[in-house]
Amino acid sequence: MKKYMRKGILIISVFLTLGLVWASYSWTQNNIKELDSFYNSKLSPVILIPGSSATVNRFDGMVAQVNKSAPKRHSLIKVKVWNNGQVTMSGKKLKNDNEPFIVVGFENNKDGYKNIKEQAAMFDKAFDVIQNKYEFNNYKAIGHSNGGLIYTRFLEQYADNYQDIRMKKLLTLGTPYNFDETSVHNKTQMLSDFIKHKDTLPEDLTVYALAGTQTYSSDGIVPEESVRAGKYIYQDQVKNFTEITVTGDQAQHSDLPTNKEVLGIITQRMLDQPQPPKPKKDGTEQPGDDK
Amino acid sequence: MKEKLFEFSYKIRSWTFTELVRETVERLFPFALIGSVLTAFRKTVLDDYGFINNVFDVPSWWKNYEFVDQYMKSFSHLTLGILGVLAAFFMAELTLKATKHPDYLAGLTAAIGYLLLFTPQGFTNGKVQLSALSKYTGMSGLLLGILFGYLIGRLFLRFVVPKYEGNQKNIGISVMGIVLALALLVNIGISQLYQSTLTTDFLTNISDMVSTGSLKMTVLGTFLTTTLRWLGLRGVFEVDGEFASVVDTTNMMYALKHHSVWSVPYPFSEQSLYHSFGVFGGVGGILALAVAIYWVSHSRHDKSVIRLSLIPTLFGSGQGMLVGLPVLFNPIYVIPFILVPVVNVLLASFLIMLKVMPPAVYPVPIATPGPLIGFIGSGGNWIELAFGVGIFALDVLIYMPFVKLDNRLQAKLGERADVI
Repeated sequence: MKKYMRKGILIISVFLTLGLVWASYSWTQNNIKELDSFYNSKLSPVILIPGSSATVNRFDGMVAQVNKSAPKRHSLIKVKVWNNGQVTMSGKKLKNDNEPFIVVGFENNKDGYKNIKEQAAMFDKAFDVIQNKYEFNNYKAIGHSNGGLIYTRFLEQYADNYQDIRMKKLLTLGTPYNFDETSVHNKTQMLSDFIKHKDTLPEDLTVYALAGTQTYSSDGIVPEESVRAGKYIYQDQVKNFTEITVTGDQAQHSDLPTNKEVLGIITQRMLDQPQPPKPKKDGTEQPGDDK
Repeated sequence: MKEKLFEFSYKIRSWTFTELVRETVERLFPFALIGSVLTAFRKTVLDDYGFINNVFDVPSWWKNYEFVDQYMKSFSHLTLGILGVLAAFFMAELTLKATKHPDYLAGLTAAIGYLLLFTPQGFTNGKVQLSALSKYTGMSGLLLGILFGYLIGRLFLRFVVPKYEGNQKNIGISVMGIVLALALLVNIGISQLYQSTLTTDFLTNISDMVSTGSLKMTVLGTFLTTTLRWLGLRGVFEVDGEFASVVDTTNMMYALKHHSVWSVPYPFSEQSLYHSFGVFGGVGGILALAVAIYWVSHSRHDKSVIRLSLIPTLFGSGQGMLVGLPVLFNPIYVIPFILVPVVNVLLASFLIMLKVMPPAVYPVPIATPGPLIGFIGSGGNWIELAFGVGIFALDVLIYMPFVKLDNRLQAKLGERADVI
């Protein structure tokens, strides 16, 4: 009797094991197929460039604010490009976060067209490193102040090197497309160059050019006319070009990244809208978690 | 060599302290067992990332599984999550037991003091929350709990027990008060220090270092992790649960992009080696030990431990078996416990190097039975599965002589009735 029972248990275990192996096989095959079609387009970082004399910590406050209301916490990764070409990175991507915020800062963070050119080249280097690390095929871009200039230069001069990688949206915050000039009749060398090369801009891009205001003509640092000059570059070149003006409290140039309206635009227009909820998982470790 | 190990172990096992440790760990078994059964079930069936949950699509036929999941989590908090606290309790009690003056205060002082000591930062806000049990109150706090319990036990032995003769029983209260106050102060001190100096902790630094995906570092990490686990501490590969490892992400994206796992940039990563073959069957290849014991050991006790804890161990919750079998802190098993994972990792890396089998890079559900981890991670490569089975047999063979040695030791210890 006991012998039969043993035999029975053995046979059942063998069948169970085979069943598990088979089920595992089909699960992993299916899962890979699914990943294949989704993962690449799912991972879509938001890459941010701060303005002159700001560091990689420039957007800490903004990201913290965004995370307060975000359904899933966004990671904050900081990348710094040094003058000797070295690229250093800090911060990690959270599991299940498909829209990490990646801030790219430069050791040389000075103002001026010459420096913008240098910084765009440095950004190209950082972008290559980031892309190799995370292998995404699309991303969203935010440039504060001169950061928007670096992005414009990058789009016109370097983006061609990354054929498979698409910038979906670009938001520039108080970007002085014509530096300090209050009238577009006085085009700076930079603006002329931007306009000259505008046909290399991607046609499927959505651009928001946001201007802050403190007075009727300026956000306290950048003339509104200079921000408006963006339309001579982007309008009718990219898919959508939208000008936004923010007034009221905290619309001063340096306050823009944490301005409530700006945060709203970032959450609603820039970030992917949450899919119908795939429930929970807070990602935190439980005390009993060691194997 | 073998005889030396035997003599050495015999000597260590004859100390009162080791005997106390052994008894303490033995008393933890019921908690560890119930906890690991519940955790294994919760992780594999109820968790959204669990093996059974995914492979048999639980959400489609069980509507309320998430609700049950939340409740089950509390169970595991109050069993596995307090193993360290219980260790402190039992150790203090047992230390006093020998004096024939058991003092109920000693165990409780140790348990509460230990909780105070390791309740995380939340405590400094003025609240104690049971949900705030930290890593050190659970399985990873075994060693610390035992040492703390021993310390409290000795304090009571030194200051409280002698006073019994003079009928000054209340002296225990002052010892308890001082211990609890000191524990609290140390806790606050440590969290203040953390907040003011922004030091990243040492373990995280090492964990970053060994997770760079090179063969050397992965082998080193395997070695360190199992050694620390044998000592009842947390391993370096178990620190960063919250973050996606950069190496793993890079590997997976590469594999997806090129539709092949064969030439990923980091073939010798933590996932492809350690998680696929190193902890396969529980940390330290404990499952192989179970088979070896079942095969050659005479110990009925060990065999019944194995029968009770086999299934949760298969599904990745080996706490019951780890605590139930005399493995942790047992010098006889330290060699195979560390050797088995390292050998597995080295053999696997050799086959990957020769391109006989691909590295495992795809996502694997949590609480997947050991031998299937590499199989799933490689996208269903059959050689990976066969290698898993083969290497398991080898692990059993490695453990075998040590089991025999342990049997001999038990027999010799059994002859000496005075060692209890």
